[in-house]
Amino acid sequence: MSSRSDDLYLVLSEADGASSEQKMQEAARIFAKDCGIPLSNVDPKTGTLRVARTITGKPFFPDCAQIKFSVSHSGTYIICAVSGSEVGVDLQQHTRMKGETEEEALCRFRKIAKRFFHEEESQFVENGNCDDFFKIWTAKESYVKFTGQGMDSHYGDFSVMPEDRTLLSSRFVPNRPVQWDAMGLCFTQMLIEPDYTLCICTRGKKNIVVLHNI
Amino acid sequence: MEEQLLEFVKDTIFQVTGQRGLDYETDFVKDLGLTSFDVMNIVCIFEDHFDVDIPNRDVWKLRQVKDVINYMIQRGITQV
Repeated sequence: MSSRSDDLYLVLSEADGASSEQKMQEAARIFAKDCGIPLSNVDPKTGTLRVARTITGKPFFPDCAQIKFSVSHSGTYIICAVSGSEVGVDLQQHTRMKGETEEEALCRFRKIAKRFFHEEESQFVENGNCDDFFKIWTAKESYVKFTGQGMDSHYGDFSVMPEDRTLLSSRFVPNRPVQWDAMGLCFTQMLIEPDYTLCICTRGKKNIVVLHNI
Repeated sequence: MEEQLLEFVKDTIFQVTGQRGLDYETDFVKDLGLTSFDVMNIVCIFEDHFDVDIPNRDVWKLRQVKDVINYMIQRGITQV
């Protein structure tokens, strides 16, 4: 497989008992091998790269600055995004509480949106359906994972909405990505199954290579 | 009051995540693996039920069950 370090590897795995860190280490190994990045600083005992965290909790490889990553898990899946430049990824299953109807779930999502989202985003959810909530949710999460700021008191201060809102209001088709720019960053979003939304936040468009079940 | 709040936290966690078996020392992320989405759902349930606002800056300080209980008591919650 030919590859360049400005590609983005997206590794989707079923949560088969392995931790998200194990999956991420494996994804990083594949990316490094394909991109010709030498992994000279791996722990000789475990064969893994050391992981450190920034003050806000964003994980990174302190001994291998050429590889950036982001991990998310939801439901039965773990997703790892690995790239040569900063990346944020979020996956969210469209869950409902026990015994909750779709209408009740939507009411709950609108409440969360009103409480935590930017006004523009909240308005979009107010006029939309459950899927629309998860479009905004995963985009916001991928953004805060990209920046490393996490979910702080500014979570409602920024908007991930594209200028052309029709991009988000259309019904998504599984595995067909939708892409837009907001806040100088690129958001790539797709359904990976009818009830899982995925969003990747990068600086500029990336060539996304999807790998399954490593 | 602490015990009533503990029961309320237990019920709320079960409602949102389907998980049981927590105590005062349980850590929401390390022990239960709660995601941001779970946490926001839980915050909304607490705010609705107790009619309080929980600022975002406080949300992420509440790491363990006992932190939530102490926080609610400090906020003047006297009835569940």
